[in-house]
Amino acid sequence: MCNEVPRLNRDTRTCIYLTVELTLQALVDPRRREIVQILLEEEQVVGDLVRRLPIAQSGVSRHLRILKDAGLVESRTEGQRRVYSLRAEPFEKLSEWVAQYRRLWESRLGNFEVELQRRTSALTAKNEES
Amino acid sequence: MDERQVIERVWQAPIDVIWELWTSAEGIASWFGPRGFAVEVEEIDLKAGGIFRYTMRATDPEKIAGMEKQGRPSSWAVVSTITEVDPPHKFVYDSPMGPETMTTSVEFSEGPAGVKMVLVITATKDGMTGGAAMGWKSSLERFAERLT
Repeated sequence: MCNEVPRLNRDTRTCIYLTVELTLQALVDPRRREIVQILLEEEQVVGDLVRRLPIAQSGVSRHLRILKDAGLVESRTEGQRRVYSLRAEPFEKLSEWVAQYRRLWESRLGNFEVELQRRTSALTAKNEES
Repeated sequence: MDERQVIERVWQAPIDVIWELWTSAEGIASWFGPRGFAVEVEEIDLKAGGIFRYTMRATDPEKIAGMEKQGRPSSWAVVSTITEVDPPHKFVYDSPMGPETMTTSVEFSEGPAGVKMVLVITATKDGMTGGAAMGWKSSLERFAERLT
């Protein structure tokens, strides 16, 4: 969603980070996580969401607005109804963010294996001496 | 929200040597820096609630020049909090990553093939750990599958 802000678009790292921050922030609320879980199954109209959740329509609408502001859901109008669905981008950014740490760790573990090999060989040599 | 990465390895080496490399200042410094970076461990208080503090410093002149050009520092301190220690089997710590927390958990178990390491990196936000995060991974995977 920060692609819409040209200044930020130049810095991919900042873009990923901002999206992750907004996504996690929006999902701190357990009710909003529940809504996202339902939307994972399939898109929903507000009325169906209200029937599945133990909260009033005003509450559901408020949560949907927050999720929409954070870029997690989008809506379209179908006749008289408004249909809500999930957007893929924030979830992809979240995976990308954690994947960066995976690459860091893969590189680290390469170093670790070299060092481990060095120490175990030294240990074996020492044992053979004694 | 919970997004995790799991990395597994099996090593044929004494578990104590592995544990020492993972949890002593000198051991960590010998491998923790990714390519082009050196790590100096200033403090590692190996107990729940203990501090694990290190400085990561760029050593590659090209990298340093690039970072300076971008106005980014070429060295920085990372202060993490150790949350679980069970020598020589389990080591868990939380690192601040801006407003999020990155939890790094590493477990070692001895088996016939050697010592198995399971490293789990989890991104969480305060108040979203434990049960609240359950099921998220599979949901996200399902969602990702649907997109492809």
